Amino acid sequence: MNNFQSFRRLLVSATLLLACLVSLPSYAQVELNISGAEVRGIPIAIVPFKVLDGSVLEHQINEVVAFDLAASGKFEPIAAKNYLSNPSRDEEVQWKDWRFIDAEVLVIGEVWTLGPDKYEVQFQMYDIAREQRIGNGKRISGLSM
Amino acid sequence: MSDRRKAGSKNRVMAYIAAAVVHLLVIAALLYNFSNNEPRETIDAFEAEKIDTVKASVIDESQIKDQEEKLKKADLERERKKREEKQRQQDELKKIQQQADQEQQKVIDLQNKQKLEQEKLESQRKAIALKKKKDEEQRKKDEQIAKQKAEAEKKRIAALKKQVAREEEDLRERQRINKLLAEEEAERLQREADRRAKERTTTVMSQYSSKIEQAIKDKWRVAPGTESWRVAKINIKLSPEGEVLKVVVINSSGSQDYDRSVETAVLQASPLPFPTAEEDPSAHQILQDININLKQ
Repeated sequence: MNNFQSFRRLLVSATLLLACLVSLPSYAQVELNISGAEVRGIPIAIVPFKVLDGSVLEHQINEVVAFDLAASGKFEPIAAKNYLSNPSRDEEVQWKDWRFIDAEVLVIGEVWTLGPDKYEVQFQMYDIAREQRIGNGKRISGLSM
Repeated sequence: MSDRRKAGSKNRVMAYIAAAVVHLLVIAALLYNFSNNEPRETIDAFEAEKIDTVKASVIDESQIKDQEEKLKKADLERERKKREEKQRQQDELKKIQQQADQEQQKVIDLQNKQKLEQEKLESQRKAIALKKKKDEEQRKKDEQIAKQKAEAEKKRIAALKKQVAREEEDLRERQRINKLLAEEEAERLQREADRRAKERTTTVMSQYSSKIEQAIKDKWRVAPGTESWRVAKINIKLSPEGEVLKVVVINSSGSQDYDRSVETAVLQASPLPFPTAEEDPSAHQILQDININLKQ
């Protein structure tokens, strides 16, 4: 009796399930295919560092960094003229501005002149795709870097 | 009188006898009346004569002669009177006879009248009976007609009822058919709508699939030196607005960089081109969960 009842219950639920499946418009899981990725280095945007004391630097730090990164072959700096905004602080970052110009990595920072040939640099690095900060640092150094 | 007796029938005889008796009685009464009046004078006269006669006997011849003359005269007078009386009686009788005749006539007339009356009555009765009969016949006829009419009315009503029932049946049948047709039509329309919706869904899906593929491809970049045989399969979950909510690698390419590049491409492409529910609800629903194969 018990067996019969449980069997019946199973049958009923199976039927219901089947009915549900049938009644729903059945579409196969959508499967897309993409091929042909662009082969290049990571597009990186390095915003000109903000000089907080108002002094004029002999070399733009961002340019130096961009040059170095490009030289490594792993990155492809995006020209500063394409930037939609020039943030220097974490709260100023707008993800969509950088996604728009296909930047995958963003570097922003500030510079403080401590003395002749002596600077304090503070910077932050972001993963635009995941909208995460992936690094930050603070350096006190001469321009020799 | 005896002549008439012989002449008349028995009934008549009886009537005549009765009439005669009546007449005799009348005569008797009349006579009695006369004896009461006239005869008394007569008697007085007689007595007076007697007295005269007695006296005369002792008187002379002339006187006797005179007396005789007088007596003769008296006798004549009496005779005359007697005749007159007789005549009078005869007249009376005649009169009575006449009266009787008149009565008789009257009786006959009455009888005739009665007869006529009876005949009239009879005829009236007959007329009434006839009329009654006629009336009865008419009544019966009327009844018959009324009956026939009632019968016909009954038949008519029955026929009418039958017709009404038939019409109702027809109406029901028509309604049933119309309902069936309407249902069929609705079903057909539904099928048509379903078909069109499916078509539209297919179209919209293919359109947006291409758009999504293109959008991701536009952002996809692999580092130089990536092996060309690498393939990754991912599943992405999208919001109703097309924003990428989640990326899961189902089949890894075996290269962390490669997998990462795929993930990055999808995230960079967010929000993806996405159909609204108004464009097509099915596509809108289905495209929120898609698998993508990415081959370099």
